Amino acid sequence: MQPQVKPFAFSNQLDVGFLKEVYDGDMEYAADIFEIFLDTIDEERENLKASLEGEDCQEIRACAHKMKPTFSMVGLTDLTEQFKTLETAARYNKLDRVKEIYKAIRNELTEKVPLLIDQQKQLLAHLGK
Amino acid sequence: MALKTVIIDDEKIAIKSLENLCKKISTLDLKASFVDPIEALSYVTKESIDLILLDIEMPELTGLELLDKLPSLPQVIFTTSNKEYAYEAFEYEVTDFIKKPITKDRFLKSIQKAISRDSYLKEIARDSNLKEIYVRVDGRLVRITIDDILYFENVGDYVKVITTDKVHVINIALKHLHVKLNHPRLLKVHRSYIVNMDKIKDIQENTLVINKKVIPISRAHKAIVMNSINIIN
Repeated sequence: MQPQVKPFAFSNQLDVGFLKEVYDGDMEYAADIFEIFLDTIDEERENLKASLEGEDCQEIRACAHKMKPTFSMVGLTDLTEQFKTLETAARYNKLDRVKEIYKAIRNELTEKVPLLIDQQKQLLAHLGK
Repeated sequence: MALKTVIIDDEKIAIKSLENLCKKISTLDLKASFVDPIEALSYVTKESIDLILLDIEMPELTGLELLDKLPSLPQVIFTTSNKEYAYEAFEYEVTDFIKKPITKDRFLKSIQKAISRDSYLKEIARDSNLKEIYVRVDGRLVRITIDDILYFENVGDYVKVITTDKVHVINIALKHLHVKLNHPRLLKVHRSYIVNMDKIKDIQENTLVINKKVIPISRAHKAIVMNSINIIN
């Protein structure tokens, strides 16, 4: 008989409903996605920051577009929405609005990335890795 | 038989999530994944692929530009985070368009569409050597030999069949007609035109001439036209 695997409980600071829908109990898959996200987020943040410093709305829009869907995959659906507004503001060259949204995104990321690192550790422990 | 599938996306998380979904579906045979669309183009041109899961907005080559460069189009499911490309995407007659992030249920629906379309195309491909067609005109079935056809032109909900000596108006959408014909010399060159390649007089940049009629060639169909003719110099 297969041993019963206890379901993994994501932090309630994340969009648990969406995570359940996407991963459907496949925690190996979830751990892979969290790992890729954490491996790439610093570089993506740097690219976004550089495009902001350069006040290059085309580049800001491209960065925001690329980053936008990845946050949902780690349960940060609010950030996906914020990136959507950033992308729109950049498209219409509203630089003041862009800077304002970026500030909120930066603060949110500073708060949430440690949570994701912790979730990833818990996922690996859950998988016995 | 499983659909030979390729994933093209410049975002690693999207690739990982699509790979994971593909692996769970036995009717898909995932052949390769590419972050670099240029590398992907070279692979897809050489290999026989049934389905591409394709991102649109990629920095070096967009998904739409990639399709322009392909000699023949396999089935394509666009995976994108922006709906703004939907209209342009459907100009390419793709199988589906899924918005990221992709959920399992939505992906399964899309793959089901691809499988149905694949079975249908294979079924009609068995009859691809057809020499004549019958069209329903005013309650009669009229026989038209393929060699007499010059081109088909979409006019609203109808299609005009222009032959060497007659014009028939038939009640069918051009896109459905194209699938039903499935003839190697009857090519769709624009959303409103299917032409008999054996009747072309000349081709310019974005137009071709058949029997003095100038017919546009759309961006989406240009590569297919150019690859089906034999250019000597």
